[in-house]
Amino acid sequence: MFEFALSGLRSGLRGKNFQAVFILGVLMIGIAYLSGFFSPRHPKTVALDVGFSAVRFSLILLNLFWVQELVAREIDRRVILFSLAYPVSRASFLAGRFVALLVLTVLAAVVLGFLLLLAVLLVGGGYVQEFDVSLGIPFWIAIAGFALDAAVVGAFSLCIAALSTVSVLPLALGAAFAVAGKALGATIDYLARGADGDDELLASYDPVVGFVRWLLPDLSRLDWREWAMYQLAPGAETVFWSVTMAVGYIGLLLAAASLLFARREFS
Amino acid sequence: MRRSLQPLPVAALLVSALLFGWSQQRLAALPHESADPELLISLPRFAQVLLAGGDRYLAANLAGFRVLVAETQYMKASDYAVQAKLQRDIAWFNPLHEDNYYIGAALLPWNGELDAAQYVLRKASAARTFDWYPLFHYGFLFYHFHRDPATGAKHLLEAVPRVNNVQDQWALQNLAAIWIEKGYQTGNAAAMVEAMAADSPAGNFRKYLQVRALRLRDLERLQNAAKEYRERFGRGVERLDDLVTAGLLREIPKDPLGFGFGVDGAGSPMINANPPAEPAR
Repeated sequence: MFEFALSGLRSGLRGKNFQAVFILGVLMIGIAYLSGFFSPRHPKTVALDVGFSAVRFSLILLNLFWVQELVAREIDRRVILFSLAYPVSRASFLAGRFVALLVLTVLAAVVLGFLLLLAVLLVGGGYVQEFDVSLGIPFWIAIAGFALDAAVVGAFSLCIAALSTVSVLPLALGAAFAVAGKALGATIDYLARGADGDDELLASYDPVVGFVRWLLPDLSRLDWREWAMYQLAPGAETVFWSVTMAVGYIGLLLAAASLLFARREFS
Repeated sequence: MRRSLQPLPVAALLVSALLFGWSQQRLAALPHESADPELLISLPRFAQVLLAGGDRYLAANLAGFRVLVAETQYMKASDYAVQAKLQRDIAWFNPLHEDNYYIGAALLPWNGELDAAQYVLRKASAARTFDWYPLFHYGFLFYHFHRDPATGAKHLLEAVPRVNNVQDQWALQNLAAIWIEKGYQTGNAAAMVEAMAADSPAGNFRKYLQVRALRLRDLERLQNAAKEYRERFGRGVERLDDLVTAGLLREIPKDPLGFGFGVDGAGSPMINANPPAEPAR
């Protein structure tokens, strides 16, 4: 498993997609810096807000491309047969790849986090906001939340890669999963508040969403940016259960992936 | 051996360069055509969240940028309706958004979107428990637009525990007391809009608030003169010109926003609800 993780790390860092997405991430942080100038009252908060969205977007995209690079393409090119020829279980191949994915995600999150930190410190010139942002522990906790969010999406994509015969499917479904999981929180919130008085909408969608929430994790629960932006710390219980939900879902996906992968036949 | 240049590509190069230069020169003289530069449409909330990759904070910021780049001096009532919708959406995506409530308070109620301003400020007041400004602006809506100083004062007093320094706490309590005691006064409203303008960053936004404040100051001058007229002649003015004829004012102030001033049924000067009709040719 260690060997698979190491080789995964190496090819993850060498991949052209990784470099392209990483440059995109850096550019997006540049956009976050510029977006701060739009704000008349709280330039640092807006730069931080847009920057957090950029970090989340980049980490998810990176995860999707890494799964594509480390698993889906190996299957597609039949290179995987060499890996599976070792006397180890197929599950350890997947586990190794996921560990590589996690390490790469943490690395990318730290680098993008530092860049964002720099951008936020520079924005706004000498303007002193009435309500300042917190760039210490709250900032890094928010970044950790986005890394965990990306890891859930990576695990989902890995699971799809384990069973899919089309190599772009993990990428496409992974992206759809990331959007749906993130939008689920807003949807539940909207319906819980009575859908702006639209009873018909409430009646038709409430049961559907009530069912979907057992299948799809609410990824917006891993978004703790309000602490860094507005000094509103999330409740310890909320954070605990959100992390538990994410770890549980990752475990579920990886277990399902190894089961599916073990039964898969390569022609 | 030197290679001779191929005549065809060279000719094509020259012709293209000429064509490009010519078109650029012609285009420089033509204005940019666009349908309507201001706010055209607003998407349903779900579409906005999906477009932002499911990220409601990003959706709030994207809508926020649209509101911020719209040039207020060119906006019509229909544009303000779209802006009101966008600002309601932002308040829903991220009620903590500071620019949103601030711009909402400064622009929406003056342009026929009082309900939207109330919605945005109510959301911000509830979410930003550390910030007294949303409640202050919310109170001002009741004071100035609903002419309900008592409810306005109630919201000012709600804001007091959120203020960190004692001086500001006293100032808020004092203001609430004046509102309750004296009721609505144009001069008070003008002073508050002047304070908002002074608190804004320099630029069009501040100028906009300054014009609003100036207009209220002019109205206050007219109302004071009308009061003096009543004291002197025992009756209210019928036309604003009466104030000039009586020597109370040198001239009737010009409304910077073009709506003009008039006289209500009780003989008190007011700002016209609509701009005057274009004179027939």
